Amino acid sequence: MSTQADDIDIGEEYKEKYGFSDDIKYLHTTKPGINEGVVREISKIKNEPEWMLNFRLKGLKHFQERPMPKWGANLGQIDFDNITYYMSPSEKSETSWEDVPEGIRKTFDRLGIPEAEKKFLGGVGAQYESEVVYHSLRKDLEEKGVIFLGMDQALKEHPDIVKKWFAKIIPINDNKFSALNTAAWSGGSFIYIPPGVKVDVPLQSYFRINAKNVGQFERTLIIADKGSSVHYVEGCTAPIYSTDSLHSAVVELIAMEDATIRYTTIQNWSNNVYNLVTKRGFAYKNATISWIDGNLGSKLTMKYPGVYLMEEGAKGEVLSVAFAGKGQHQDAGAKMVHMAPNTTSIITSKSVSKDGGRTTYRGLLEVDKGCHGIKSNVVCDALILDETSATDTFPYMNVNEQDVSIGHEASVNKVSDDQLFYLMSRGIEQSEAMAMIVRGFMEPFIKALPMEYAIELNRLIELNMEGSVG
Amino acid sequence: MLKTIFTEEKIEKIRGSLKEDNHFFEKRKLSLDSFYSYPLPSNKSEEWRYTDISFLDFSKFDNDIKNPEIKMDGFHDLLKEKGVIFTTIIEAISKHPEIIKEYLFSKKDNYEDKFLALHKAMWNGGVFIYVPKNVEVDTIFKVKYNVLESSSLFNHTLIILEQGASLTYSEEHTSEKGDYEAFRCDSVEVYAKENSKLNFNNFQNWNDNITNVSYWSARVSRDAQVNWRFSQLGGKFSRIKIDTHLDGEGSNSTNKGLVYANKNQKFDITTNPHHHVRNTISDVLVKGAFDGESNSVYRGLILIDEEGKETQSYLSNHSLMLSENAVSNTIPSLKIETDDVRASHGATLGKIDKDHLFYLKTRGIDQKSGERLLITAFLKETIDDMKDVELKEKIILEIEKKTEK
Repeated sequence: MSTQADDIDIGEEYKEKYGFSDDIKYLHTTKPGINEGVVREISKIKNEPEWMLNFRLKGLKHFQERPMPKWGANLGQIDFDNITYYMSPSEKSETSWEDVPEGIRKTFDRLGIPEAEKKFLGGVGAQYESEVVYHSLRKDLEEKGVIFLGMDQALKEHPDIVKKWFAKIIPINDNKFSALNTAAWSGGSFIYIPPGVKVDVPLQSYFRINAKNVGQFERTLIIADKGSSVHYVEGCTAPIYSTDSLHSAVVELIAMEDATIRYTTIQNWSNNVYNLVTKRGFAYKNATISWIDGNLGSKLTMKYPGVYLMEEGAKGEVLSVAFAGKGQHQDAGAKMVHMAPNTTSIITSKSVSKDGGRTTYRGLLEVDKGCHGIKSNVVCDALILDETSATDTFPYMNVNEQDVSIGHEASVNKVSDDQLFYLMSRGIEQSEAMAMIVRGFMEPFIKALPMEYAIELNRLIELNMEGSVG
Repeated sequence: MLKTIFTEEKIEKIRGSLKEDNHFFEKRKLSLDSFYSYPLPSNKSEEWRYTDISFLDFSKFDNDIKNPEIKMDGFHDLLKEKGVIFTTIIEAISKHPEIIKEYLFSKKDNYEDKFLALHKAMWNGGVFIYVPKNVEVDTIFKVKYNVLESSSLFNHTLIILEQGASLTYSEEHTSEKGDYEAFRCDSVEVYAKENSKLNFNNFQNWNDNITNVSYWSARVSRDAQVNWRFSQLGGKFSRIKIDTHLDGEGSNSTNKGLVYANKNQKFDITTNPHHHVRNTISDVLVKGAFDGESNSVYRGLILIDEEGKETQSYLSNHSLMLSENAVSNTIPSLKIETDDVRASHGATLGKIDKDHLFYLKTRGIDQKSGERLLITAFLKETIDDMKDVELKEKIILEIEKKTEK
């Protein structure tokens, strides 16, 4: 489909905008590799209670015993012994940007985080390597009793709530990488929204990897109490290195009766990051959990956000877009488990692959016995932009009940010549026409984002689309 | 345990009874070795994730080598004169050893699992059909298998259509009632050469004493067409995997099938169209009605290779849930290595529409009859275009009968 334009490295602008690195002096750095010594060291640095150390050790044991998953993408190249599992750049999490060490502050300035905070966010967390370096929440939200802290800080200040819910949604032995996270976790966000409180501005966390061969293992827990609502947004970037880094987060959401949680991710790791993330939420009576999941970066992403619909009237939604360019594999999807009657779920997945990239949709829809009145709809669309790229769709449907209404559709297409021709006949250049079509294809996702992010995402798509047609 | 059941002596015995030459015997021995080298499938392997085979106990079957009752119909002298062959594979082995040697298990895909390896080691019956160049078979070739007693049966169906040949083939499987259990491990192998056309119809209505694990495959050459139709009603457990390889440009395939499960029946159906070259077409439609405590799995993977541009592939699967204790697993998948294709799949699961039942009731049709009509109408779509009308009517009748159970 294209000529010399293919040679243009779409990473160029990424390098300039996100791909830079800082020369930072770290306060603590564990030796590469993971073992009991390293886990004990992390726990000691953090001055944690005994139960958390035991938790970590259980996680480590399971990680070591559990074989690598045989399904899915190729994980064989991850060199676990060459990864540094803990690196802390600062002593504590600050509440004013002024107090954040200068080198790090500059990074977040360059990424535009403090500016975004001023404009439209209700609260911001910023994590650099293993630790949260900045955290703040708007005064009025704080007064309403909203808690938004780094996970480590939350463990110190609210040990009872953390202990009650930690690893309850995603147990230690859920999978190999959630076990690794349990052993090595550091940072992440803790959010509690009191009953009836509606947080109408998004809360955001930004995750930054700076060093080479580093692992980031943040752990996020969001609890929305009865009748409350919250929109949480996370973003992430990293410098471009020739060796691989590992990001393996665990995110747990709890939406109590009538609560709403919307969790948006704009994943834009550099192309040397393995992104292996476990995300799951429990939605109780009439509660809604939505995962808005955008995967643009990373070398390999394996991520299947899930909603367990625990009680009647619960609703789950996953809206996922993936963009796989050169050398990238986006293995993303969704998991909906209907455990109560009259629950509904919607999965919409859109993926674009180009320049030899591969997108995979992998999903599970499960209806347990006794759950009548289930409604579920799954739509997966894939767009392939050139002949070297590939796509897969693996939707699993496991239904143990009669009174259900379930629909699934998937389609794979290329951008049609007619569409391109039409736009070009209106004087639009081919590359712009292509970008327009892709944007149109991804529209449902972009619509679900806060406006500022939608603009940013449009720009990112343009960036990734550059040089796609010649 | 197994080692005392499937032994080299047994293969020796088959060699004796089939009077086959060493070529076959050596291949059997190799397959027996690979049978033992595969572990018994468990839910750890993707293909068997939702299928529990641990109930399978080979010692329950009489393991003496036997053949089921087989009846063949549709052959006539004129066809014989034109060079058409329609015979048991046992007869073909001594009469046409060269053709059998050339084609038997010669597929390029090398797919094998424990059961196919067992079949390759033990095959000892079945049908062989050969249609020469440009011969259009004007009758329907019919084969009826009837299982009589406790046994392990390994039937092989080998169908070769030369250039421009055409054939409609129907096979019907039944079993005698009785207090016995039997195991079937069959394989169907189709070679459709350039511009040929095969309609393959299968109907299975065993009693609930049969366990079946079968593998079918077709290689479809340029401009050729293979149309699979399967109707699975009976058995205790029935697994069929159908691979259709579209090898030549302009080749196309349809694969339509129905499954109707009740009580404790288990079904495991896989239909995979594999588009190896450009400009190939496939259409898959599988419908299932699930009653009682039945447990079923359907998988359908559309595979499009790098060379498979301008391919059109559609797959749809619809499940009708008739009981709250029935389980249905559906996994329609896509694996696409190139652009410029049109590939899609759709799946639905639902129950009988109350409005439809109500409508029928207002027309004086009672609940039970209404359900029967709706189930039959739902499943029937997959065999509407079946060329063997006699078989089609029989299947519809059997579906209706089954709704009474």
